[in-house]
Amino acid sequence: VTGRALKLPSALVGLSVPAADVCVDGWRGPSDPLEGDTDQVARPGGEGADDQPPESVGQGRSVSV
Amino acid sequence: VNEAIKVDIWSDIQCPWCYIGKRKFEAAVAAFGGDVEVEYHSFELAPDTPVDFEGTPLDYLSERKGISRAQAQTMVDRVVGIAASVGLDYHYDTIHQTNTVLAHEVLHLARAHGRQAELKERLLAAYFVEGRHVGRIEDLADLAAEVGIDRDEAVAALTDHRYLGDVKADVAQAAAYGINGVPFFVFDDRYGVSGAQESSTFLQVLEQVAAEVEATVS
Repeated sequence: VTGRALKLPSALVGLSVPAADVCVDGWRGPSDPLEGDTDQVARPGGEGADDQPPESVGQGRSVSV
Repeated sequence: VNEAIKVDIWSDIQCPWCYIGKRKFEAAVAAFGGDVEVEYHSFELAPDTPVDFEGTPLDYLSERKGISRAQAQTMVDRVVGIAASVGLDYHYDTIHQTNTVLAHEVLHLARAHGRQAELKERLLAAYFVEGRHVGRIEDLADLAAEVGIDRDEAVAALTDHRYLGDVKADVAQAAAYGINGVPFFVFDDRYGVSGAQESSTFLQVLEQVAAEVEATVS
């Protein structure tokens, strides 16, 4: 599995998985034509897309599966 | 692996991707073969929504997101189609948009009785498929009773908000994890996965975590 990594502030390790549909305020998904936004992974602190490699994600290890 | 893999899932009752993600995750668990222990946690997508929202889901979406009803219909059509692909028959024409805090409270009551999984499924089906109201005490007590929870106890627990603190604790934990969208899955208290991933992705994560647990034990 490859893809954008999560960026988590706590002891959680972000797994590198594809972006997938989520509900946010109201709801939407990454491939909604209305949004045009393919980055729907967790974005702590309201930060933008995280293009860093998995190894730099969060405070712990990151694992690609 | 002898030890069950713990999966904590943050979701909301009125999140269509949460129900779809639940089905995809369940398919992965069935294919996995090992023991998986699931606990659902509360996430309020729209805590300011009134219990009796005046209007349709299309009204809600267009107002909430500042889009036209036609655009909202496009969103609904897409999610209904994907839901159908995993065997879920969403009926957006009968949905009662509501506040879900009481639904989360009764899910914590259900957990205390070992019936959380059953009630989670019951509430999602009630909301998305059957057009039942999931924001009022009496309706939620009826649904809780359907999965074996004492109805009077459910009414009492919801009336005095016995589990509101647990709901807020879940919400706070989600914030601490940086979760701003659901469903969100935490495997073995360590690995975070966002969204209604494909079953194959969930399965790969389960196998990865199981291999790590096994390596740690041996």
